[in-house]
Amino acid sequence: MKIPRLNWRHVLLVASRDFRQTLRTRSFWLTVFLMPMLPVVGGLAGSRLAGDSEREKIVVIDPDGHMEPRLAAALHRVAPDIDVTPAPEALTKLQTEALDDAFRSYIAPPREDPHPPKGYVIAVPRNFPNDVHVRIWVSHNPGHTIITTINDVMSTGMRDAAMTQAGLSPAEAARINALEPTLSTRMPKHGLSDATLAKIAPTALAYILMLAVIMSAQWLLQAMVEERSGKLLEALLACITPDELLCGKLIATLEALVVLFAAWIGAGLLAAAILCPHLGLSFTQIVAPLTSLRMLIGAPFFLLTGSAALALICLAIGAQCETLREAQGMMMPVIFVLMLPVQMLLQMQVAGTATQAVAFARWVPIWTPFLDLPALSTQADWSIFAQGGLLLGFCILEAVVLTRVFRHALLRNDTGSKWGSLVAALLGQKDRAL
Amino acid sequence: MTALSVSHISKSFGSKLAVDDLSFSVAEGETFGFLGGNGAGKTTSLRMMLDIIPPDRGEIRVLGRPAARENATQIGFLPEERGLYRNMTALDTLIYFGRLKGLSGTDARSRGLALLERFGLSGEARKNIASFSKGMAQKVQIATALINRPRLLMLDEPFSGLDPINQALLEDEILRASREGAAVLFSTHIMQHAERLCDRLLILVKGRKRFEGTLSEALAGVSGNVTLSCRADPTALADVAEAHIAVSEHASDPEWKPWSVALKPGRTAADLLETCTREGFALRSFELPRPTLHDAFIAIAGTTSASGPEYPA
Ligand SMILES: Nc1ncnc2c1ncn2[C@@H]1O[C@H](COP(=O)(O)OP(=O)(O)OP(=O)(O)O)[C@@H](O)[C@H]1O
Ligand SMILES: [Mg+2]
Repeated sequence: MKIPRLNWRHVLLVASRDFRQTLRTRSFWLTVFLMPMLPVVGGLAGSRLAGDSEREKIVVIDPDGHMEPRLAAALHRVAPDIDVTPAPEALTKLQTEALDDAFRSYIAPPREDPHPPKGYVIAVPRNFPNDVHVRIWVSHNPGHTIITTINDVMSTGMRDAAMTQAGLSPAEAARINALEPTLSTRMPKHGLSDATLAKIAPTALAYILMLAVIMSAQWLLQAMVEERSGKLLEALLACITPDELLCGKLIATLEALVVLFAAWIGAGLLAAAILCPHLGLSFTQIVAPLTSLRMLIGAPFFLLTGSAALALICLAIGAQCETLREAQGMMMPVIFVLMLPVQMLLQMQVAGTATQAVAFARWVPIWTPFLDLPALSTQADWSIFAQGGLLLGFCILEAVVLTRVFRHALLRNDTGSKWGSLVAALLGQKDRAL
Repeated sequence: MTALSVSHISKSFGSKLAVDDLSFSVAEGETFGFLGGNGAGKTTSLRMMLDIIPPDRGEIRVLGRPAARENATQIGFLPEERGLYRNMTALDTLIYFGRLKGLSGTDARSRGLALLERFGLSGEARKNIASFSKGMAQKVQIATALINRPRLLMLDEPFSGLDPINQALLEDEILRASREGAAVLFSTHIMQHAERLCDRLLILVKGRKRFEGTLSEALAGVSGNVTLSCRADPTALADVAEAHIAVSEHASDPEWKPWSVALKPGRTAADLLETCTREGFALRSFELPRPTLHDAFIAIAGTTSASGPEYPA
């Protein structure tokens, strides 16, 4: 095989023109910015919703004033975000019926307020341990822990009073009341194991790659069809070789994909940073797998070779077509066939099912990057290297085939079947034009 | 010095022989017309000279070197199919092509601005081609061919699709380039331009060269018809005039009939006039043929069979 001599000045000129052209298209920026907006916006909305809990307030009406400090202390322990405040003097003087009226509007707030205040009003009866009717007004579904805590504090108060009445010293009563077993509960947070947590970010990378490939197909085809549909090929080919043009286009494509990846990964991290605390996940735990050496080397490699492998297919199809519409028509089934299994395989890999199928698919170069990205830290070195090498070899093979197809299609003036001529080019029929 | 020499090149596409054993050369400062009908092989020949496609056989030398992409720095090329990047400005387009042809960014910019100025487009230099009229875009494209001050200018059907003003502009540019010492080769099937511009021309028929020479040589090969009006039947002139056709059956004066007389090969109008006088023919008018390149082209290329009579090359 003859390796074509390239004039790199030409290649870079083509690449920079194509890249700048891509930067000027609206669809590129929509892809770069709008897509990651979804998780970021989702994250912000989520944090808004979660942030509503900070507005919760507990007002304690305690005419005798014994229980309020104990309630406040206990509630503060279980729900540090909630304000516990003693009721204003005026409130404590109201009778039960009046209190009901006073809180009706509070508990059933006017409809038009989209974020009604959430709160509890706890009325400890006068003469507490003698009158044990503690009333609680709640504006919303009461939190389980809040009610339990109120119950605990009030029962402790009652038992204290009962024990001192029975002759125990207050200290002795307090000691007995404080008795409790040591319960140690172990439950993984939100039911996610550490192993699963470690998979989240790398799997997200695989999805980013998948989306990038699907979304970028459009401007790849655009770039490829541009010279042909703009009838510029001949003028260009008088100055540069087809290989230089193709190589420049490929570089421009990869540059654009790098911008895309950077934007999307950045947005992903931002969304994770915003969302994690509200999901009870640790941001550092999620991001840690990305900082391993394997990831730092492997992720860029698989992102680039993976997108190149699919970009080359797009380019080959684009090279066959006169117009963007025609190119899209040819591209759709290909993207569909290539990407549909990826989604399934990724799900199976995350769920740990169909391990045989996933293990096999990992050796199919088109799918390697999607399956190896999430599994970089769990796969054996040799298999990562072998699969990476296979993928790289596949890309090179594709590039060779593509130059062939590209030259074959250049300045072609027949209007025969695109697939037919694609196959003819692949089978190495004599180039008609070149 | 020869700017371009082509010797015995052939090219076929499948079983179709597009260019067949073509040889010619163009000197520096010369304007060379590359004429031929549709499908004659003009574009294919130009592509081979530009090294866009390789010839099956034969040799091409451009400015003393073998045909290669590297020559692009010295060549200006206007392809038959016109088009530009629609989302690029006129100036950026010129800079891009200038840089592809080896100019530095600053040179390309200053030359681009100068050309746009010359073509009356300096106000539009920074506007997108998409907003240009067809004629404006054509001017930009002509400028891309000239941006590197080429020593060899190759234009494929340069006048097609141009309005008369742009045609005149292009003619001026061709003359200017040739004044500056560049060799200009252009293909066309519009004969008037070739007639006005060419020092020499070549006529291609079905991939084969049928004629190469100066305009007067081309015209000399055409025996135009002499029109005369006489009383007698000019059949008597059989040894000079090959055939004779009545131009009009309904002449104003039935006595003096107009005749169109085709000269026999090798005989001139002077021979005919001399014979008339010698034979005592009464003539009321005798009009010399004024053949155009168009006539010459029809005469040369009109014989469709490739094995037809060869004209002097
Ligand atoms: N890439 C190609 N593949 C197959 N046949 C081709 C190709 N290019 C040209 N031909 C054939 O070669 C012949 C010469 O074509 P060419 O384009 O050189 O003619 P031309 O003189 O430029 O004609 P026109 O005046 O119409 O532009 C034609 O019969 C054409 O069909
Ligand atoms: Mg042509």
